[in-house]
Amino acid sequence: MRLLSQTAKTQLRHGSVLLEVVLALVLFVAAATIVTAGMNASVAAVERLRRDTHTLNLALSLMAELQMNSRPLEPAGPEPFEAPFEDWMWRIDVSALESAAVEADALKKVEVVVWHTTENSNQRVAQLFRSNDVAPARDGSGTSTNYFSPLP
Amino acid sequence: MTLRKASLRRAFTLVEVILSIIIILGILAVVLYFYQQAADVRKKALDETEYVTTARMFLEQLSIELHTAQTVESQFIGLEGSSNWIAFVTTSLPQTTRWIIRTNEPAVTVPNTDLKRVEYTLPYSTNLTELTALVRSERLLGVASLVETNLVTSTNEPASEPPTFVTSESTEPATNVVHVASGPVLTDRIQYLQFRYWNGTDWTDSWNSLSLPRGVEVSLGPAPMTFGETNEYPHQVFRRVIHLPRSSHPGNEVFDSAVEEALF
Repeated sequence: MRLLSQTAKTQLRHGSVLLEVVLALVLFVAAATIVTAGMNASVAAVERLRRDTHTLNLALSLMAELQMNSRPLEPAGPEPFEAPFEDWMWRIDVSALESAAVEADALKKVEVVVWHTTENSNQRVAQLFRSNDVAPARDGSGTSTNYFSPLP
Repeated sequence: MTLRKASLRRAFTLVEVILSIIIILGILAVVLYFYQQAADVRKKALDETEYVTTARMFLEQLSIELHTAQTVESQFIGLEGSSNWIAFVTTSLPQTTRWIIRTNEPAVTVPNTDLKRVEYTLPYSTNLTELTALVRSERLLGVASLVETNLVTSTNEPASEPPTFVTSESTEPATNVVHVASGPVLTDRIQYLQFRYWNGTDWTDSWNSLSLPRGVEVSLGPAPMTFGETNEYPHQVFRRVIHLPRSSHPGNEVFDSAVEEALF
């Protein structure tokens, strides 16, 4: 009876040690998982910052090209950019201004939309142009000229 | 026999010790490897963040300055530039000290000009292992005679002649001069810089004219350009096209006439 009790105590002690080892491993794996997740989040944030910067640069560049008259001021797209930015798409929307003011009737809102094809990154840049600077829209509104001019 | 059993219970066996040492070494190796990987990722993330932030700030600053770029035709100062440098005249708020009216002065001094000549240069390095740095310099296009008089002698004589803008910049064609960078270092994160200029029909690699280009394309990169078999920049590049509203272009004539018609 005494011998059996000693064996039970030994097994209990071994089981406790095993439980401690397993608990330590679980804590280690949990800590490693948290640190890894934090690192992945940091890398993802940097990648998102870089991607958003590209998106912003592409949108501003597209609007600048419209202002420079190097690209026709008319509704266009969606189309992909040239390399190395082939992962981004662009679209140019032209719409009438919603304001009922008399001076605003001659204005058109030109909106440049740029977005990434796979990731959640998009940018919209808008500027008002006079209506006679805007080429005919897809619905037939607007008039066409071969020049453009931004608002003063 | 009883003593032997007791001694076995008090100490670890050699196998247990060796096994525990192996396990500890294995865990230490894993932890050290994990720590090194984490440190590398952290360093790369910090470097990338700093580079992207620097590129964004530089592009924003250059965009603002190019949006207000203009020419000083009276002194034949326009926009000059090549693929790795650009210099132009832009505007800024003048120093408020120029408007301070001193009671002992018979006449109000002429305010300092709001024009300044800004220059960005990324010098090429022949040694690929040597890092270069983006240099920015600016110089006020001051009214030379008046500024010197007011600062040195305070004679306060009213100016009899119209003020003249002065600058010591060369007006030689950009393609024939070796450009030397001067000024404080802006950042060393940007190791690749390329400008292109839109003349209305094509992109050109250099510009030296009294008229401004319609637009300037700026490309930035984190590593120097290596000239290999292809001329393509192998690293990731930030690129932005900046419109110069003050540029002379046939479209602007139409625009100016339209504005005059609308205003008057």
